[in-house]
Amino acid sequence: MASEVVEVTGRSQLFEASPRSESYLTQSLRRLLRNRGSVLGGLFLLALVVVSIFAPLIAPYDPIEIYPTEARQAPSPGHLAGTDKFGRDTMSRIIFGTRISLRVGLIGVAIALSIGGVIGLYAGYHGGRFDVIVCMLVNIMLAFPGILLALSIVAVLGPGLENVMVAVGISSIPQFLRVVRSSVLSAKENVYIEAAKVSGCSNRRIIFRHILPNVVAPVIVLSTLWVGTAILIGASVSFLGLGVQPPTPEWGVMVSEGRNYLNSMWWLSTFPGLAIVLTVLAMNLLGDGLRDALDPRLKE
Amino acid sequence: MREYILKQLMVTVPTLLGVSIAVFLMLHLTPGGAVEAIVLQGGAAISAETMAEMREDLGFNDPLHVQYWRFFSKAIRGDFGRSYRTQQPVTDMILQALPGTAQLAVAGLAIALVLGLSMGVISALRHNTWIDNTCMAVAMLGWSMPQFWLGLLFILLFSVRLGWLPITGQEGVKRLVMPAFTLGLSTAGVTARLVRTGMLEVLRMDYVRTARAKGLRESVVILRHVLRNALIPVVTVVGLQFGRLLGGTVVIETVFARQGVGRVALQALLTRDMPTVQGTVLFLAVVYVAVNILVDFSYAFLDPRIRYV
Repeated sequence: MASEVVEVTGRSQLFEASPRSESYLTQSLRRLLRNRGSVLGGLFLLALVVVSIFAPLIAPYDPIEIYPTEARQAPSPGHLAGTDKFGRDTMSRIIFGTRISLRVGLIGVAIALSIGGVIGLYAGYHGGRFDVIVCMLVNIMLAFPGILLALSIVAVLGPGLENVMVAVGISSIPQFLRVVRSSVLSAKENVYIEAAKVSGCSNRRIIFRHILPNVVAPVIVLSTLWVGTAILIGASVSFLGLGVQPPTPEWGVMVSEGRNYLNSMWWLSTFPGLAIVLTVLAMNLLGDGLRDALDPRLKE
Repeated sequence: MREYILKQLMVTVPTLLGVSIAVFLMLHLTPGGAVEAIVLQGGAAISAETMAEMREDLGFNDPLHVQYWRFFSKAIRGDFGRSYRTQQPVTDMILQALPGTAQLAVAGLAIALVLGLSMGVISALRHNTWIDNTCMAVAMLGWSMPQFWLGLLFILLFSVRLGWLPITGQEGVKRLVMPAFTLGLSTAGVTARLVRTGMLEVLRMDYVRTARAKGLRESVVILRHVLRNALIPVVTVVGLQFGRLLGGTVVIETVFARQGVGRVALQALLTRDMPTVQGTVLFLAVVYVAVNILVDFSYAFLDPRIRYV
């Protein structure tokens, strides 16, 4: 019997080594790379990061300086996205605007994660009165519909890029807090947590060793998806006049500046808006891909 | 059911109380304080003594809890004081602007539900086909677009280039089309995704397999067994999306220059007209919470399992 197997296959399957088991990380990465959408999103995001770092080298013109002789030009080889009434090159302003939008998205998420994540972790693990109070505070924050919370915070703090980042971060805390808290509550139900407690593990060890690994995956997914949302919120606040102020080349500000010229200079609002759409779409594609890769059960 | 309603109310009342405290504190956290916000409206420079007198006269030197109680006892009667900018009662300003926002929110919600439900149902029924992928791609594009940009694109295409629809204004259905579609389209994307997930979950249920095994027509299986159960979570979607819609009215009313509570709130935020900010923000928050309570109750009504948890 064994000889027949050897003859057919050329080697003995009986003595075939068992397949090497892949780590969870490797499996997840493999699933992520198989998802075309998330690969596309990831590559676009990488391109954005490169553009934002090398903006002074990539942008053909200064984003703030005025060139009166170049004013009101439609898109052309010399000015790919046209110029505004001051002669400023729209494409250069979009390129420099990448830095601002990525900062708003990333710092906003960092604020939300560091505050919401820590509170959610503590509330979920320890429960009790602290958890009740935290849930009540989250309900209060979530009672402000849409971007009204971010707008209210910016109205108190005043306009400006830093205040927009803080407003976006604070208004995003409830989402991160809830995800971390529910992941912790879910992880707490596992038998091995009880076993760890019974065997005398400290709370700190349980949290870092057993709870946190269960929280990482949903937090990564939410963080990725929320960068896009944070960019949208920041651009909306700036569009409405409460956030970043002109002449700073922020995408929302640029769309707002162009809205009075839709008839004569349609490109002023169109291209910065397109930049927002593509960036948010890329983050959503990547976030979706990460969710499917880190827990394929969630896809179904 | 009564216990469920009581439980929901016990959560809602402290939430609304908390929102009123947050809104009250906004005035006091503003740099320079409330008096400076009033002075800003006047435009003229005022001496420090006059400002101190104003603080005393307007009760801003009283302890915070006394000021809050004054604000709360008036707010509960619908009195938010007068606008620093126009001197008009804030309640009157909200009531004048309310019909515009209500029209926009209802029309936007209708469009979001029609489009979202259609895309979600079709996607679920044609799961893992090009139809499913296309619908979800369109849905994702919808929720990735900033509403202000979508609105401006509509204006550029339908008003400026084609001349089919008026850009701004309040009266008439034609003036509602673009704002409502802008509001509804971005929300439809999220709705479609949630509906698709709900439908897929129900389609996997044993009773659906049984219905098919019994030889029922597919249309009967979908309409009588699948949709009725898949629509239960859609009710929750309505609640969640209503907040997005309400927040979106701030942007849409600005883009299309429509008078509404959102635009009043924004103008107040821009000019630090704090009584108006307090009134409009509190009003919108109360409406949002009220809609979510109704959604919770209807969810419990539709799904008996929820009542008895």
